This record gives sequence, structure tokens and C-alpha cells, in this order.
Amino acid sequence: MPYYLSLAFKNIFRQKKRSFTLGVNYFVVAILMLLLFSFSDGVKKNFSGNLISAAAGHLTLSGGKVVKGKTLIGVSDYPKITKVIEDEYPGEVTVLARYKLTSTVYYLGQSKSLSFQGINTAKDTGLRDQVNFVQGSWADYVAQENGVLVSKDTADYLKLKLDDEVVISTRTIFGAFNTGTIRVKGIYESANYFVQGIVLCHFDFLQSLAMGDKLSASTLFVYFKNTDGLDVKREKLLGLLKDAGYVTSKPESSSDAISVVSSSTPKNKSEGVDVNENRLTIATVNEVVAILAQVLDAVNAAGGFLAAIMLFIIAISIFINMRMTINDRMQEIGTLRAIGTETKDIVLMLIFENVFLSLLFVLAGLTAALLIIGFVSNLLTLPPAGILSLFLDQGHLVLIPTLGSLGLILTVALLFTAIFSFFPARHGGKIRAAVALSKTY
Amino acid sequence: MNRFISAGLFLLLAATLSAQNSDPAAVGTALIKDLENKINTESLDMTSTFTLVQKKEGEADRVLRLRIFRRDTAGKFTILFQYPDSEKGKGYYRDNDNLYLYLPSTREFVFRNRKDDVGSTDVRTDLFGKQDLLSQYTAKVTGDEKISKYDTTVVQLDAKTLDVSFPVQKWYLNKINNLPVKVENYSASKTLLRTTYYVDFKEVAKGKFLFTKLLAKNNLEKNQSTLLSNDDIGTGKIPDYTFSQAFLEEQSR
Repeated sequence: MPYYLSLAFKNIFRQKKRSFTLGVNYFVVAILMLLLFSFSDGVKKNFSGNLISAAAGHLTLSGGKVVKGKTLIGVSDYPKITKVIEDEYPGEVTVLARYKLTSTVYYLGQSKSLSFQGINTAKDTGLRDQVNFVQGSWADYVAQENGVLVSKDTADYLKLKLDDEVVISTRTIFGAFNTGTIRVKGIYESANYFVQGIVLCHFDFLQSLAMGDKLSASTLFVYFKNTDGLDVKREKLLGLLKDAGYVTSKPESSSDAISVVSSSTPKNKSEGVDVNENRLTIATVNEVVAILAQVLDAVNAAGGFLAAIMLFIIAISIFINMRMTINDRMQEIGTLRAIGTETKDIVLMLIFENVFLSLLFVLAGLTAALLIIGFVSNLLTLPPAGILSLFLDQGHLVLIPTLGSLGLILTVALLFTAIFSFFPARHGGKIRAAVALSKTY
Repeated sequence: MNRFISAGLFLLLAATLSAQNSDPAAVGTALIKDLENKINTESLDMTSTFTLVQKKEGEADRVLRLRIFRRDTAGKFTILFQYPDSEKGKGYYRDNDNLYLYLPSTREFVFRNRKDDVGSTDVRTDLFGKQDLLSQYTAKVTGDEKISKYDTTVVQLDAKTLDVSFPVQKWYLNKINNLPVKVENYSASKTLLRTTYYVDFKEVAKGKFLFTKLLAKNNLEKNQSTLLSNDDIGTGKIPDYTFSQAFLEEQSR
């Protein structure tokens, strides 16, 4: 090891006060950035996980049937689509059909507009693992044709109890009102944001309430063994379904992808009465979460801006500290130059003093951040209510520190220090022995 | 005097129909045609002020006041919200099947279902415009009934297609003047959803009637109803500009 490295290492705390003042800045920046990146990665993973468990597939299909220019929302002939997908990926894929609608519930003088989701209980059991029953059971719900599961919040609001029968009123796919009676067979709580508030019904019940034909569904969720190559798989399915007679498309934007998942009414242009076609749009889960990624990128950018301000302060501190250090250590620099130390070695020694200082405090900051993450993720429990549950897994904040984040923070901090130390260090290195010693004596 | 002539003509129509044709569908269709002829004001521009009082159990009454401009000939109407202040500046503009809600807060027009509820009350926007029941429903007489002190003929309307709000309606038509006394709206599964009681009408031109008081009751939400009164009725010519989105925007300023 070059001797100036060991010298630099020994010199880190020569001016304790200055070193600690500068070090605290590195420490805080490291904590802040790691917490921010961990939060961002945690939310992305948690959001995607919750979304896939409840409200979307790896690929989600929705669409509409246009008859004489009028669009009936929903996927037409979903068994045909299912067969096309299963034939293409035998044994590798699960296709689930859901029926969704919004309906007003009337009970004991109270009314509330709720989102209903109809599932095929024999095949679509993923939601069972997302709910904790306060009353009733999954088996009771499955056994009753018009049985529903309601969230505890909804049950409390409408004063619903187990086995209550409730009238619901909704618009059918054609626009006419229809009414039906549901029976409460379970009251649940869920930590999954996308499950909270949903009234879970049977697929056939909702299909008949909406007066949809027997082959129609609101959306299809397609699950593969993993999320690799979703874009390629989507392209393949777009082609196959086009061959099967559908007019296929991809969402044009992230908000279009969200519309696919929520099966919301498409923004139709006025169409001629001669337009008759079955439309399908396929969105990947990555497109759906892209809007969240944009929000998180904005959050990260705000955090980055804060870190940049702190780094700017650090840069000024480095500059001032080094100028003071060089003045204080003129004798040492003069002596080193007198015994033959070259300019570049002096420069490197001064740079490495700062680099080692930043390495030490950034590592300390990252360690502290990991401890905070460990504490918050495991010991701090928050109520999984409302929008907060987007960030929670079983009541715990999801923070995922990745090696990439750790490496990035460390690299940026060290490079930054090296760059901003270079100019004052070069000044120190250029001082000639005679000049340095004459200033001292 | 006009009322008596109108009632006389109607009685003549009813007598002729019953004598010549006892087919409930034909009689029902003729009655609805006559009704539409009376309540649609193709030859007139209509201006009036509606006051809606929504009553809900356990809540204070909610009052809305709207100014309506109606031109049935062109299938257009414009509605301006005048009260309360929180709703002021909002409005609807209907041009045949296209209904737009103007939101002054965002200064945008939102395309709405033509059967939209006005300000979340039990009154629907299609109540304000021209009625075109026979293009959407088939009619048949199902019997007679006494509603309060009025003898009525019950005409059931069954939707030809399901793109109407209420697939089944029952109109209780006054035997004397063929104006509605009560209308019941049913869902596709024949559940009674709403009942509208027409309390009073005003003859605005010869043989043309406009309701001045009605009560709309929500049959699913118990003890919820909306009372509507129609005042300041005018039949003067309305400037064409009133039937435009620009007019709504201008009025909200």
C-alpha cells in the first residue's frame, strides 16, 4: 500500500471537530437516501404484490362489444379467449374471469355505493388468503348462490350482520336498472388495499344481475409462473386473439392500463352504426404500476434534491476544511515535499483523507439506516386502514434495502468527495517545500 | 274554458277508442300518444324555475333551485343551478341524446347519461325535456285504479330494448284529462324503484300542459323523497344562444 494511504487514514481525525461536523452530513445523507430508496422499492413491491393478489393479473384483459356503434362493456366469449391462452401456454398459465360492477346498497335507511366483484369460487381462490374473517367463513360464502363477503367497515357503516339479506340496485350493461338480493355470509378485514371495501360475490350472480350474456366477463386475469417477458407474451397473445376475431390493442398510457384493470368505461369516440366488433385491450402489470413508479420517482427526486443540497453543503465544507487543513499543516507539507514526496502523492493523501472520512461516516449512516429499517419493518405495527395500507404488509411498513441502493449511495458519496477534494488538494500539493517551510518558520 | 274543451276532446277520444278497439296495446298506445301530445311543447319555447326539496330521514332538507330553458322542437334544454351557492354556476345542456354537465370549478363539460339524476336528487334530467315514450316502450292498458280522488287508467310501458333506465313503467292516467297522476318505475327484475306523483299541472298553451308540482319518491331508500315545484313559467321566445355550452360557461362567471 502506498505510504500516503496509511498517512491519509491516520489523519482522518486529526482535526476531530471538523471531521465530525463534516462526517455528520455524510451520515445523515446516507440514512436519508437509503430510507428513501428502501421505501420506494418497498412500495413498488408491495403495491405490485397486493395488486396481483387481488385486482390484476400479470396480464389483464378487458374490452367491449360494439354493436351498431354502441359499446357494451366487458370481454365477449371469455371461454374462447381462455382456451386460446391455455393452448399457447399449456400448464404454465392460469386464467381467471371476474365480473365487476358498482351498485348501491340499501339497508335500514342507509345507502352506500359499493364495488362488487364476482369470482368463480372453484378456481379463483387467491382472495381467500387476503381476508381475515371477523364473522362467517369462506365455505359459507361459497355454499350460498347470492352469498357475499363484506368488509368490516362496510358492515359497520350499514349495520350489517351475518345472514342479513340486502337489496342492491345497479345499472345493467345496457343501462337499465336491475335489482337483486344479496345475503351476507362473511365479514372480513384485509391488510390488502385492493381488497378493502370490495363486496365479494359469485361470478354467475353478478353476471345475471348485470344481464350480461353467459359468455361475458368484465376482465380476465392471466397469471404465469413468473413475470419474465410479459411484453413478449402479450405481443404473442395480441396476435393470437386477433386471429380469433378480436380487435386487439395495448393501452396507450399508464392511465389507460389502469382503466383496463378497473374495467372502467372506455372513452369512446362517437361511432357509426355500422361498427360491430369485439375489442380487447391487454395490459401488463408493469404498465399498471408504471404510474406509481412515476410518483415514486418524483418522491425520490424530491429526496435527491434534499440530498443534493446537503451534498452542496458538504462540498463547501470540504473546500473550507481542506484550505484550513492545508494552512494548519504547512510544516508537514513542507517537510514531506523536502524529503522528496511528489505533488501527486500529497494530492492523493489529502483526497484520501476525505474519502476515508466519507467512507467511514457513510458506512455508519447505512448501518444506522438498516437498523432503523429493521426496527420499522418488524417492530412497528400500523393500522392497515385506507391509503396507508398501500405501504403496509400485515401492518408493517415495507422497506426493502437493496444491494444496488447501498452500492449507489456509497459510490456517489465517495466519487463526490473525491471530485470536490481534488481542487483544494491540488492547491496543497503544488506548494513548494521552501514556500511551505518559510511560511511556517 | 280550454281545459273543458281539452277534457271533452279527450273523453271523445277515449269513448271512440273503447268503442272501436278493445285491444289493450292499441288503447295504451293511443293514450300515451295523446299524453305526449299534451306534455310536449314542440310549438313553444318554455322557461321556468324549478325548486327541488329533497327530504331524507335523519338529515336536513336539501333545497335546489334551477332555471330551465326548453325547446322541444329541437330536442334541447338548458338547466342552470341557481341555489344553493355551492351549486351555483353548474348546469346541464342537452342536445337530443347528448347531455353535458358543466362544472364551473374545473370549467369543463362532462358527458352524462341522458337519464342523469339532477344534483343527486330523485328527479331525473329526462323529466325536463321532451317525452318520447313510444320510441322506447310498448304500451298496454292493464286496468283502472283510483289514486287519491282520481280515477285513472293504468298503462304499462315495457321497454323495447334495455337501454332505458326503467325497463318497466306504469303510468296512471287521469280518466278525465289523460294527464298523469302517478308514475311507477320498475327495475328489470320488476322491483319498484321510484314513484312520481304529479300533483298539479298548468295549461301553458292551448292543449299543452306543464306540471307545476310533483313528488318523486325513492322506493328503495325508505323515507327519501324529492318535492318539485315549477314556477315563473314563461313561453316567450328564447334566444338560440341559450341552447349552447357557451351560454352555460358565460352564466357561471
